[in-house]
Amino acid sequence: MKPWFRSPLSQLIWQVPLLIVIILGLVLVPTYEEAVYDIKAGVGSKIQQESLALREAYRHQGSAGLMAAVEHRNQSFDEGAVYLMVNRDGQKIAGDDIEWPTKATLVNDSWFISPESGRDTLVGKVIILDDGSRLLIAQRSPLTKFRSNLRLRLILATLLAFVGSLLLGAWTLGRFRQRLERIKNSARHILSGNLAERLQLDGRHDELDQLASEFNLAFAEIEKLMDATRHVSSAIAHDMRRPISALRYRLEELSARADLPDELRTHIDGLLHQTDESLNTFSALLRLARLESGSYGPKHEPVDISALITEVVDTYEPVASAHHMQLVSQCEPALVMGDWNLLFLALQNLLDNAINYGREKIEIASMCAEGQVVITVRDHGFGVDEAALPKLFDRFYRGDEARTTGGSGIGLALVRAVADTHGGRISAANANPGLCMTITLPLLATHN
Amino acid sequence: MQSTMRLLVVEDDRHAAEFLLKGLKEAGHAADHSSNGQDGLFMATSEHYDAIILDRMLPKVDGLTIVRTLRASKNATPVLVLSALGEVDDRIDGLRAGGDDYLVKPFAMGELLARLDALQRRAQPTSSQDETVLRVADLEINLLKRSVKRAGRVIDLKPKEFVLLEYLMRHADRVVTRTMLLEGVWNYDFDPKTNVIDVHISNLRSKVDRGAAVPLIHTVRGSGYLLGVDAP
Repeated sequence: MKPWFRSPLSQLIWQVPLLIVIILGLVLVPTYEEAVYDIKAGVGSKIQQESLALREAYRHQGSAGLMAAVEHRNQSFDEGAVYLMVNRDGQKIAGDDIEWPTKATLVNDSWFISPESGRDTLVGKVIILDDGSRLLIAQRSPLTKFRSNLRLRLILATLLAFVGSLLLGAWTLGRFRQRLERIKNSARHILSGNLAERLQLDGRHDELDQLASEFNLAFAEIEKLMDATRHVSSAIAHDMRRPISALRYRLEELSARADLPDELRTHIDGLLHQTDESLNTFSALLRLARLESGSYGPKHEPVDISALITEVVDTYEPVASAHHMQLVSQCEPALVMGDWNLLFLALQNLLDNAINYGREKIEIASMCAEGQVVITVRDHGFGVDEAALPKLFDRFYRGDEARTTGGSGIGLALVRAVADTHGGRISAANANPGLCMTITLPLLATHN
Repeated sequence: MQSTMRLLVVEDDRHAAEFLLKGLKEAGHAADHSSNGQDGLFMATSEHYDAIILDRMLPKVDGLTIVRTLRASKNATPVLVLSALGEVDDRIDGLRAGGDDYLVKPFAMGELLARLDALQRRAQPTSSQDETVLRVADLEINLLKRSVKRAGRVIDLKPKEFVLLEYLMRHADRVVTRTMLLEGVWNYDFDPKTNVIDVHISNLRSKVDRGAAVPLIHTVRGSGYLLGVDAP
């Protein structure tokens, strides 16, 4: 299974916030750049205007006029504006009480940017007059403050959007996943045999509710079909067995007649035996059909595999001896969830086969590995043609003459159905010599 | 060896009913017949029978309902349920409803008679399940000590052989079929394709009857086995 975070829904949890961050970035970064540019341009043009105006004052009124203009401007309330006029020796003639900024080079018409104490920057222009005195026209630029404030806000907003949408997504998805999980568990519960039950709707009429009600329709259909199967099974048992049963009754009546010649009686007893064989095949087929359709309703209780094998060995050891074979067992304690009778039926079928087609020795063993119990039944007979191995468990398989003589061809299909019903597997392999049947069942728990 | 019984047969299948009535008559029993559940229930409640042979699927009132009705009215007549349904859970349903035994159709007459016999014996209060020592002739088994003696000689039995012998002794002098042994000793309805029962009986017989003057375990041709002094 894929890990949960690989599902497309889970990927939305981080994809959506990421997308939001990217969009925010695409919109806000140019806006920010524009604002910075505007501020810069505003400051620049203001300084340019001032320098034009002051130059004008100097041209018309000379140094004194310029000083007056500077002083006048200094008195006004434009807090951002800074003026400084010094003489050739660098002594202040007019303007603000500041040091000549080191970054302001002594070149006419040159621009400078100089950091001030605090967070302001001074942006300005230097004008060198004819008499060697210098004029500095500058603005305290809001740019640095603006930059750091805005950057902080932008980062905060982006972070909020990211975390917010992440949390919202996770929460929504969590609830969604919870409901999905509920639906999944209910569906599993229903399919494990509780066919009359249905998925619960939330009453919100949303997609999940619609999905659940579609599933419910499907379950209703399955239940109907299962009922039909059950009905057909019992109908067959009752109706189709009837003529064969009638035949059997007649044959037995005939056989019981006192005036019957011995030769005829033997013949009729043979027919009786054949009738019983067909009836047995029929029962086995019905049982198989019920097992495979899941309508058997096997018990689910802890079954001790070693106790089961002990029981099987107690039952079959004398039979093996009578057939000049040795039956040996070796089992580990193991608990599985299941139906004792069905599991016994499976092992019984395997042992019947092993005794009928084996030689010398039959080994039955169980061992636990990786949460499973592996039960093996191995004979020392001639084995089976490699190509026929996978077909052994098909019903009515008749490929190998030796292995199907007298049998109904259903025994091994039943064994597989029993293994399937228990969530297990069965496989066959040649063990040279002999055939090894392996049933693997999920383990419930291991003793000690 | 079998006593005469008065029986009620409730069976709608003509062939099965004919076969039953004929076989029961030949075995010396007297049988009434009803072909539907309603009449069958009426006869079962108004007359006294030693045992009732009841088909599970009947027109009008089904077999299990009849058993439940009888048991609810404190009628304890032994009931043998016949059915075409032979799975374990069908059998459990039949017994849970109050049936005393369950036989899958079609059946051999010997099987049915043996089971009727066992039912009748079970209904008699003299045979107690609480006995700890069972005796047949000089054969004695102690259920508490799980020990077996024949004419004072201790016989060592395997667990399955012991349970088998106990079952045979509880049904002493009666025919016990292979199916009854499978159900009674192994608790399964399985259909072994090997001679499981015969082998176990043969082993048991060699241990119990070896060196004894009179054999106790007998084979009844076409039906099963019998444990008793007299051969059938």
